[in-house]
Amino acid sequence: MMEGHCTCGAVRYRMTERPLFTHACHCTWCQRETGTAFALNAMIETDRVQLLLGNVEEIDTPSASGRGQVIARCPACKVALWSHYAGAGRKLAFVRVGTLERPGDCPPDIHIFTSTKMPWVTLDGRVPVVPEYYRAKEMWPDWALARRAAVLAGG
Amino acid sequence: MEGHCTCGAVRFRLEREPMFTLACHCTWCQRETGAAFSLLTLIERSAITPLSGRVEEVTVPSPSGQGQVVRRCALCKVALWSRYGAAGPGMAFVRVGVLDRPGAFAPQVHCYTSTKQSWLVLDGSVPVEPEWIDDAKYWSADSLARQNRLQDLGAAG
Repeated sequence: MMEGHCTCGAVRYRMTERPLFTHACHCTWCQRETGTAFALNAMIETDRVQLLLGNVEEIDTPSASGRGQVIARCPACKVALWSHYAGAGRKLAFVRVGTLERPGDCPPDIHIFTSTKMPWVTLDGRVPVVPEYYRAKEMWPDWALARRAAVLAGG
Repeated sequence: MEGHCTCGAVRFRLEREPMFTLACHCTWCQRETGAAFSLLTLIERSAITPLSGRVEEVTVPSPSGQGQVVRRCALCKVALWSRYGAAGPGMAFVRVGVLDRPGAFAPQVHCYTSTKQSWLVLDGSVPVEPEWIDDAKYWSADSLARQNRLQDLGAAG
């Protein structure tokens, strides 16, 4: 099980299962939100993200789709821990990999929106690289697709 | 060069070329960005002109023990720039990703690569340091002079 926390330590959480799929997203929105070259987001069912300490504050934030996202931040240090995007809604959480205690456990499964990748960032081709978005059915392993279908079908 | 937060409330402008740009792979920067490394360009605070919006300052711990003050949009909370206790109050560490043309700021060095994500490839085109960098080794003479002036101002109170 993977645990993570914010910078000040007021919020701690645990992923109770391995995440479904991890994106390195090079879109300009992710660059702005993270302040860096790309975001690193591990997707997981929200009910498998368990708060161990503290509570998050949810900030409604615009997103590239125009439909917005909710970013869960530590109320004290404001560091972002995960997001919910309009597409899958609150059933899926996009956990910021850098907040995990062992972020190396979640390497990217794909690089997306590389049409706006910073020119100096080198990708070695070990995982798929797509200029924009992609279809999960074509990229995700069967077990992850099954879990996603189950959570999206739930109430 | 201008920059802004995600909701657009806060906009600012850099009035001159920054002194230095680095990618920091320390675990603190990974946590703060939520990503694999931070990308920071260093400029005098006095060279950042606020254009709109309200920022809030959030003081957080930092690995030096001297703390960091992060300036965030008061509405969307996205981080814009920081000052670190260890670098003095006059130096701003601007998050490159919030600038309008972030691709214009490539890192001049990668630091703290002892904790770099193992999947991440660095192509060797810029120096790589396992821990912190010796500024005198990597900064231009002009940038070192600007840094010295800031430290003199800081010492003068």
